[in-house]
Amino acid sequence: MKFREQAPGMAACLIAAMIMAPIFFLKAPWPVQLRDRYEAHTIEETGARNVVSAIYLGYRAFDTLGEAIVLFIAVLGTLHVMQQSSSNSKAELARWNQSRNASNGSTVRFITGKVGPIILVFGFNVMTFGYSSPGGGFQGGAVLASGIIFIALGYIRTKRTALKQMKDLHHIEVVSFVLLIAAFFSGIVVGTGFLANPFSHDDIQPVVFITLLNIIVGIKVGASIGLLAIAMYAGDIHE
Amino acid sequence: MNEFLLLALFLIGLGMVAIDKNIIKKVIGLGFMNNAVVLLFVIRGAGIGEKAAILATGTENIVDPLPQALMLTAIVISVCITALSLGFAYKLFMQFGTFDIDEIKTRLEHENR
Amino acid sequence: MQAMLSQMMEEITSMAISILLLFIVALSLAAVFIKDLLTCIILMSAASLLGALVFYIANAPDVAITEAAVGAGLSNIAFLWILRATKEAKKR
Repeated sequence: MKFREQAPGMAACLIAAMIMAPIFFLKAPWPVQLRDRYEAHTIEETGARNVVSAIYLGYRAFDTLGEAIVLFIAVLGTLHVMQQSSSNSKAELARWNQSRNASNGSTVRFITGKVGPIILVFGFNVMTFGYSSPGGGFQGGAVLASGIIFIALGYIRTKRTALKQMKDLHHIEVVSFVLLIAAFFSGIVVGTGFLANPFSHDDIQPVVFITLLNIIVGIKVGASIGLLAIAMYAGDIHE
Repeated sequence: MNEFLLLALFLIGLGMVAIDKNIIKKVIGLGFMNNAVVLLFVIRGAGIGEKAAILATGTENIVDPLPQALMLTAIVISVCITALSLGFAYKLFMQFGTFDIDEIKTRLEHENR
Repeated sequence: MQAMLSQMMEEITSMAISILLLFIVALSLAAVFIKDLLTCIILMSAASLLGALVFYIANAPDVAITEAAVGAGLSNIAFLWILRATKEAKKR
């Protein structure tokens, strides 16, 4: 820990402290007009009772579109960087299978294989009821990804099963991304505008659109992060 | 008191990124910085109300819901950025055989000479 | 009486948030000085889990669910993968 090498780093920390301190120690009062407006108008404009879901799917849906694109690109980039140019010879595959079978005792595999589907059902519950209780697309997607990891721990024994699961998850992710963009464009077809609710003029309640979007965003996030997790568990696999 | 602790957390993360020699510790420092900023937004937004942001008939004084919606996106994106930067660290390890940036720098200079 | 009770609840809430933030700062300070990588990773995920508890106390249940699911399980997988893959590569 020589002082001479660390001097630029410490100088950077001091300058950052002087710049960031006013932001952290802000004494100005937090504005309350936006909170009052959301409190008064959310139910009649979107139909959802959970204000956070109404914000990121109704009032600020552009952020969700950008986030879906960033997730897509990040997962593709990580999968590309993770590949290792090794020869998948028979001896290496046999050694990998043996190491995975030996490391997980049958207790771990038994329990995680049985608990996995329960966590998937819980994830769907959190996703679908996101319009009136805490939950929604991102939250349900994260829980779904955890459920996928549990199932992978319980059922993957050979590299061929891992590859098949990865291909399935990749197809699910691409289909849900296309469905998300189609749902955002359906406002233009009906006449209310891009990213707007297409059910505003009919007899169908506008909360149906929010629930559909929640499900699509949740499946996309869950499939993306689950794909990353299985790729990291099963090691280097060419795609 | 909260603001002191959050500033300390942010500076600890920044110190780990700028000073530590191991690449994995730099990525852990990025995670701490992310945690500090998300905590700051949600705690400052929760100071103006008393109830959670779910509306029923008669709720009056809810917490500010906008920072929570923005931080949801930020948390999910931070996972993807951590995974991507660890992928790059893996590629560096495969090329040079070490995680230490001093040794990587000396080996790069040897190769360029 | 109702106003005094709600004010006391607010004070207890803010004190609990301060104590939890103190724990988080202590954990991250420990992660600076420890050389073992596995211990640092587990300290970071413990700090994320305490952050999820702070979000729950501060009346933000959506952020709490996401942070608990992501910080305690999904970002660990990337770190544990890289530790394992580089150990196998070094052994080969």
